[in-house]
Amino acid sequence: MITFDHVYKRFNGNVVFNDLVFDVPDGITTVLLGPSGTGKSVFLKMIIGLISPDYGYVWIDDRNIVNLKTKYLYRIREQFGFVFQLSALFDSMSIYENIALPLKMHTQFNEESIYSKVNECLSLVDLEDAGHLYPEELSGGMKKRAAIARALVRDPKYILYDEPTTGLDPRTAAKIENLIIKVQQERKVTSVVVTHDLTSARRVGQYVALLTGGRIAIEGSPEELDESANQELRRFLNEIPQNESLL
Amino acid sequence: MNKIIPQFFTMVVPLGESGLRFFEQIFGVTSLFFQALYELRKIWFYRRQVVEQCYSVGVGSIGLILVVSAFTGMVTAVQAAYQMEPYYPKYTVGALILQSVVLELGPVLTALVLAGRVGAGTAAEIGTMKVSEQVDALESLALNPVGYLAMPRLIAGFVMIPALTIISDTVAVIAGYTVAINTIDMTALEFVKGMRMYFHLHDVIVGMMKAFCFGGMITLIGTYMGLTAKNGAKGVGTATTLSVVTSAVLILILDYVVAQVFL
Ligand SMILES: Nc1ncnc2c1ncn2[C@@H]1O[C@H](COP(=O)(O)OP(=O)(O)O)[C@@H](O)[C@H]1O
Ligand SMILES: [Mg+2]
Repeated sequence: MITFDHVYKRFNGNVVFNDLVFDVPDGITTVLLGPSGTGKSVFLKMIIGLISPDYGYVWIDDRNIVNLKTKYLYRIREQFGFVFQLSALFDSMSIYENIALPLKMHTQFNEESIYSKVNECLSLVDLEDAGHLYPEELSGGMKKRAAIARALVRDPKYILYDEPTTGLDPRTAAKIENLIIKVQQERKVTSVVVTHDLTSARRVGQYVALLTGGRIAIEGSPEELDESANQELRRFLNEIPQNESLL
Repeated sequence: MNKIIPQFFTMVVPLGESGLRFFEQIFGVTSLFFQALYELRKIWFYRRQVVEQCYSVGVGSIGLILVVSAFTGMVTAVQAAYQMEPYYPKYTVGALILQSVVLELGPVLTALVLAGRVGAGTAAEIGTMKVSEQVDALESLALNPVGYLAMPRLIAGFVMIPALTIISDTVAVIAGYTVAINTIDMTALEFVKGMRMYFHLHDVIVGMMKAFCFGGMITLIGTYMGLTAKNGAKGVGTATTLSVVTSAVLILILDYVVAQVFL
């Protein structure tokens, strides 16, 4: 379980988290919604200790990772897959090498088991034939899928997605959403998706929270949020032009 | 009065800020250096990256170094002959070429050329990784960027740049020799006599010491500038420029310091 325990964070006077309290439920997909610049990326980076809170704790499975020694922090990171907003594939490596890297560095697997493991992940994301290509040769959607494969290759317990559908056309976005759902169902991972995209949130989210003003304004199942009259939720929904104006 | 104080601050604060940034950078580079040294304990873990970097710095730069040092040796021969011929015996040309190449031209020109090739390349590559979240991605895969990126490059700089300097020295002396015996009226024997009379092991050691310092510094600065790049493509450009300029200036300063202390 991931828990934000009264977390405060500011960058040069710009308050990002102000007494943020949030539990990420295990085994399902949680969507954190919020307008741009509210700290969604900071939220994910804080989970793996890339950014530290000014005050407060971040608990991962009953272990506070704030100020944890690097050695232990890295061990915790090995349970996480992180899908970055721009995919962040290593562009000096082929897709195959990108996905194989965590295995080569952290496991004693031989070439054959690495090969079969990487190919298993490639076929999960529908990229069987793209292993030899380099990131620059892929479309945005393919890059995103490759990034998901890399995040999955070590069978993480948690997988974190930073705006997985932002900047993709609706069809590609839908494909990625389906993949997120499929990964969640097949691998039984705990997924956290941060996004400002309501349609996406509605499709993948089993639990939804709204981040505004440095804290969680409202959280609950999509149905609960649909019925809620929470002011900040209404404001957020109204700010975004959307056909289906409710969650 | 009410207006003067804010005006005073708007004038002075930027000065203070750039001074502060200067010390911040010195501190940053130093701390990256020690962190990279600390990561040496994991050299086996990062062995692939170390080999890759040594290959890319060493083998990748040989062609360039051959051309640069051949012409350095040749021009030194011509100039030595021009300067010495009227006053000194011919064999001093051999001595002059050897000493200036081993002590000064070999290490400094190799370093300056590599500050362009290796330093800029490092800053651009790591800077691009930084602004496209690839450095964060390394962290997310439980790989330490200092161990994965900085340490192998530091080793490559410390090991391969002195090695390239040895090659450069050799090529420059041979090129100088060829020009000397072909265009100045001078025999091979005279050239070698001059070289032998003025050969000091001490010079070779000082020259290699320079190469060693320059080498580590070039890749360290390139890595540091890359890792601290921000603001997209423009930031990568700034990092690259800064890396080349800083390295070039520091090479000349260090060159003087080592010369002053050891000669
Ligand atoms: N490393 C950082 N240094 C300074 N400010 C930062 C840093 N990371 C994020 N911020 C600031 O924190 C705020 C939230 O950023 P972010 O989490 O990226 O927003 P988003 O919700 O769009 O992902 C922004 O105002 C951003 O400028
Ligand atoms: Mg973001």
